[in-house]
Amino acid sequence: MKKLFSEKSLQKLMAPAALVILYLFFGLFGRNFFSYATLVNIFDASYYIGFIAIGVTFVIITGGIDLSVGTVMMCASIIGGTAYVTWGWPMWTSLLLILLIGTLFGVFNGIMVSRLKLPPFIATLGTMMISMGIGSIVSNVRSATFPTRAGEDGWFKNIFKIITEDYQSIPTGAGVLLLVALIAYIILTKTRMGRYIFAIGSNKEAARLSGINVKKWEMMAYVTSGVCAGIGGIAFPAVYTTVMPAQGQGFELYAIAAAVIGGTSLSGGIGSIFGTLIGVYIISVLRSGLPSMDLQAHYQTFFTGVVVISAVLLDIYRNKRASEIRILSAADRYRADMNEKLRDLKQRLASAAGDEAEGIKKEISRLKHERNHEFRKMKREQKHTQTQIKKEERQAEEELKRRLEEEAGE
Amino acid sequence: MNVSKRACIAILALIMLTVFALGSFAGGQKDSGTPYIAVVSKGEQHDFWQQVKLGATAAAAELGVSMTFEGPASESDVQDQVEMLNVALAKAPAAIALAALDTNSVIDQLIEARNRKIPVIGFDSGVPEAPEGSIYANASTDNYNAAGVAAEKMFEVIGDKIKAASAARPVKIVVMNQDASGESLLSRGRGFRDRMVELVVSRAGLAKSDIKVMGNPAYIASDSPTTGNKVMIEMVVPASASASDSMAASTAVLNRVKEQNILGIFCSNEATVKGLLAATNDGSALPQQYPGLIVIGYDAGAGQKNAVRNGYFLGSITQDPFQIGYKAVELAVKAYKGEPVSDVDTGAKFYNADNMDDADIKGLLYD
Repeated sequence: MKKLFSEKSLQKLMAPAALVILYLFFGLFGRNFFSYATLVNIFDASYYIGFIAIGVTFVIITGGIDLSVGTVMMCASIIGGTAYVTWGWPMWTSLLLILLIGTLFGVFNGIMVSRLKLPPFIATLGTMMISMGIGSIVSNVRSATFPTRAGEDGWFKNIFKIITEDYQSIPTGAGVLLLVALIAYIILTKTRMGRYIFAIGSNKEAARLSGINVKKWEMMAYVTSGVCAGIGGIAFPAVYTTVMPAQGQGFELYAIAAAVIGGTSLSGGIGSIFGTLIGVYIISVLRSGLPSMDLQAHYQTFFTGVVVISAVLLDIYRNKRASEIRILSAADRYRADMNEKLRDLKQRLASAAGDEAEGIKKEISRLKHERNHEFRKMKREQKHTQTQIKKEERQAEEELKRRLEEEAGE
Repeated sequence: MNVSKRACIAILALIMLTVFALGSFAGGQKDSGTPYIAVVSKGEQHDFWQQVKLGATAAAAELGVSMTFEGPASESDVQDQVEMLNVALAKAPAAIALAALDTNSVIDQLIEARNRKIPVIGFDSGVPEAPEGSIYANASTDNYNAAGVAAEKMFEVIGDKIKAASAARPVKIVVMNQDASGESLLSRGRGFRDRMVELVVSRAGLAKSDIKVMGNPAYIASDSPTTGNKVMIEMVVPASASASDSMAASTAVLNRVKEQNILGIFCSNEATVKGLLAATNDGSALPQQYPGLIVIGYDAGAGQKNAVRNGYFLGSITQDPFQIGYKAVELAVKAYKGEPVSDVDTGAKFYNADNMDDADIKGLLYD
């Protein structure tokens, strides 16, 4: 019991628990929420945020931030669409172009942050505007309509959702998202790149001094973010078909929110991909769940805000706990000693038998009683002395005040 | 340990409390046994859509169905609308009313609705080029008829001058259209053109062969007269929908007013109205520089309302957004009950300085 709800695991369980509770809640109060169709909707709405959230998690772990993910994704997407529709490129090269553009923006961000030493916030804010502008310039401020499912080249939609001949939807995109998350997870936890990214985020200077090529690995985090934005740029038109120019602003905030909900610390050095994924699904469930209760979609912005603040509060408490220094009082020390003794006795009890065991049992209950009694007494005394001290302090203060007044009176 | 544990629980409780508080006032609407109609519009904030919403709400109350009305924040938020439609479908509604921003984006959803036998009713501009059988009926303004009303109103004033037209001194009527691709705009231009031709023949005592329809080829039908020399109907299309192009096209037309004896201009949508207003100092130059020129606009908007109020325009045509919403829900309920449904014209009204403050018109004019 104690093990199961140890503090660390409790906090790790918070986000998944919140997800389950939210899902059940909407199931109870929403209209027809417990349905396969709703589940598919939740998946559909999770892809584009999901990919950029995975990417941005890498950047946040290095202690940076990437504000450009949303607009880079939409920029890549609309340029790919323009290539397909206007320039007549084949579908697969258009999709590769989307990935390439995402990656290039990642490289651009990486160079600015790691080589030119721009603050990530400013650098990626600039990229956000640049990518939005480029998307509009290349597309000539025209929307790009990707082929529909029935149309020629509609196959690319099957990467994210297959609709069978008898109209059953299979959300294949959930598999793609999970696969990308798995790869990201392996990179982050099992490879040198992951270790270095965490090291840079925990303490950049220490990482540099211990011989890590900070420039290279910081850059790699931004490139990963760009690649993920590129994948998102494919997922978006697969689900929504038409890409409008100058979109994507605000998506990055959902991505960052998802990472934060999932336990990634904005000060760097802490974070996990699966936490981020849980964050993505919390946002996605809110997005589908609130309208199912006949609440309009903009309520989700409000509730995502509530969830983000709760997650950050949790993060603060976690950090505070970790860095707290505790001074043991006499009573605490006494109890710790007694517990030690009891533990020894219990160990002896395990190997003892017959009368000896009976004796030890009695001894244990006696000691427990004594411990509780003494501990309470000492606590009382402690409290008493503390109030005594406070009282004296107050008296001294009043004395001082009185004297000061007297002096002023003279 | 206790402090943070308690904090965790407190935070969770806080989330749950807010969610539950919300649920208590939102959850009441469901499971009341009444059929549920989901209305997904193109927008929600503009006055036009607010009127549509009022109409939909009124119809839902009258017919005893539960209804939700939602639309994306702006008309470029295609993605938001797709998600709204997804959620609407997942809620297993009795019927859906839809004004699609982009048909291509919702084809999967329309096919799903058709497959699940959920009737979809188009409203406003409807769902052009939807998969066959998915849209049961449309509740929209019959643009062709509405523009015909404008032709009638214009003819009432300029009829005598048209009667006096001769080959030596022909008269011209100009129709400003926004583009030659949107079906709703095409039918406005055509509706005005056909009605005007009809009126000239039946009431001005001229023959059809006296009329010449000219200008943008998309607006010249195979049966339109193109060889006449007494009455010219010119169909103008600005280079693009941008304000500057509309203004340039208007200026070009205005420069020819005296020379070509232009009697009237019909601007078939708000963009062309704005272009004309920009070219005439918000309309105030019209009575001074072009006395006798009759202008009729379409839709509303602050600038256009002002021009109508001051008499710069003879008047304008407005759609009836309340009826659009009302009929959409009415058709949806009928379709759900299995009754046959067909397209409904939600009507259009002509307004001028005299009647624009009347109760039945005022609500239709958005800023």
